[in-house]
Amino acid sequence: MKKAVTVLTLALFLISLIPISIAQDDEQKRLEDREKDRLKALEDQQKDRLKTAKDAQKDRPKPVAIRVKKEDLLKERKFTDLRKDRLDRFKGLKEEDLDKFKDLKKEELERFGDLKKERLDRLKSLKKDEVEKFKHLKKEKLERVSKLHKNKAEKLSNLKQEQITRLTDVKETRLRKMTGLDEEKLKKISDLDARQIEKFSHLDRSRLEEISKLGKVEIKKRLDKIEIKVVDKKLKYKKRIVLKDKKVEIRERFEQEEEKLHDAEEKIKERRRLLIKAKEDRDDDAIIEHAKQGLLRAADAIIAHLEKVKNKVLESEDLTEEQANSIISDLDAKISEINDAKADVEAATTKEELRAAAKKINASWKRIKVKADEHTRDVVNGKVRSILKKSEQLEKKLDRILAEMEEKGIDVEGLDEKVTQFSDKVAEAREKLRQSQEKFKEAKAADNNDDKKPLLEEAKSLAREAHNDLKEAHDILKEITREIKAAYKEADFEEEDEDELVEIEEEEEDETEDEENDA
Amino acid sequence: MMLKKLNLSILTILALFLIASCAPQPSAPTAPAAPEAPVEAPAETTGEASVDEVAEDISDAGSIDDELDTSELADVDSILADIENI
Repeated sequence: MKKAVTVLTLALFLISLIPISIAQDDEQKRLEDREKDRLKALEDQQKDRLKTAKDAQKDRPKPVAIRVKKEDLLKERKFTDLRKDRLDRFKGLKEEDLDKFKDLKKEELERFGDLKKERLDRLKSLKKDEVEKFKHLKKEKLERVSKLHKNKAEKLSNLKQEQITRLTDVKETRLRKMTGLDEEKLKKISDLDARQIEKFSHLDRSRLEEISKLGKVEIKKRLDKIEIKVVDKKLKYKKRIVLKDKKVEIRERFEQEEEKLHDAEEKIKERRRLLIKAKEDRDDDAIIEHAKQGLLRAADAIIAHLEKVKNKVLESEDLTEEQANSIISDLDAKISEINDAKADVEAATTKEELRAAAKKINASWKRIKVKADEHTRDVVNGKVRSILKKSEQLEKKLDRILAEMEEKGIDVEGLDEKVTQFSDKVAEAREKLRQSQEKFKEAKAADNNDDKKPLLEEAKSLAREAHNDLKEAHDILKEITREIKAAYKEADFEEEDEDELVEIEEEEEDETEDEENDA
Repeated sequence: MMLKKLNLSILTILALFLIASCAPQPSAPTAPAAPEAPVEAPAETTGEASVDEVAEDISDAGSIDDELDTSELADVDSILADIENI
């Protein structure tokens, strides 16, 4: 008994030690934390001491020998002959920065001296030999280079003088975009002639990257197929203008037709149900009545559908007046055809007559359906094409804003990456739309509906993929817009410089081949 | 007598145990409560006409295909086939 009591007491004693040991662990942790704090304080003190020492070094007067050297340099004739404002720019430079300009001739110094202070400051951050690579550039070109970020200017300075001269011929926004390419590609491009460089510089980032990967001969071939067109400011990627009031009116008509279609479909369902019952009951009068009404409602549904397509064509600004008129007259002809068939149904009194009318409407409908799908494709692909063009224009806008931001010293690295992603997504959409258009062309050229249908389906599916890519591109664009607005409040998205009003048209491969064959 | 002593010592140990358990623990550095993720309202527009106009076009293009889809006229095909066989 005593033993048991002793064991119990001991066990209780040991249990009672657990919290104490936990408390000790915490105490240990507290001590460790305190030690860490002490070490950190020591480290901070050391840093402070080092900083104070550095500051003291900075404040210490510069060795007289260096000051004299800078003064001596500025006393050289090429400097003293400079206009006061130009000379002041160089006077404002530190000895080591001024050294980078000391071997330039007077007229070269004049061009550098004409740069705004912040631009000269950007160039002075380059190495001496890099600065000298730009000495031959005329004022306008030098200004373009001076607006570039240091790493882009460095990349440019690694080219030959004549290559630099050719590249700097293009506007700064485009020059900035091109210098975003890696050095190897930039070298390849700088060997093109001025006209080709100008054309190349107008391309979006995705195309720049893609084309610059090609060999020199292929680059020239590809650029020959590209045309830079000035966009009509009034139309802005539209093929025609439909007035707002007219659009409202068309929309209302479209909705009415949609209602008619739903109404007809309801009635078709009901008539079909009654027709099946009448057939089961072998009630000929009822069969005739429900077949007649069913046929009339089917014709109504077809007409309503064609009217809907017609209204979409009327509303579309992505079809030319000529295209729209041609589609409308075709749709009108189809509507008349169905109306004529409706008259036959009204006049029918026997099952045979109704069967014949049904066959006629069915045959017409099968043909009309494919044609209506073709017209729908015209409208949708036209719309996707216009979105694509507007997105390409927005990329140019972003490039302009990014160049402005960079010139103001705002970091745009992350934004630059996102604009490239945006450009790539738009390029994917462009490729899908191109494929869709190709399938659509094949469908239009096909002789019979059985061949047309699958091609139209493919065209539709590819256009849908293009549309989805554009949706994704737009999500990236929204993100970019928000980030720009947060970092650069002065960003003007509505401004349109001349570069934003150009359109890139690329000749299709097969068309060229056809033309070559024709020749 | 012996039992009383034993009880007393057990009680003392228990009391010690209680005191040690109730001793104020140094509060473990708790991670600051994560601020509730702001419920971001779906940003439909950016406030920039040129950007928002494209969004509108994208939405329009998607709806045209759906609005003009002929598959909704499947009943027309069915009833025409039925009437051809009356």
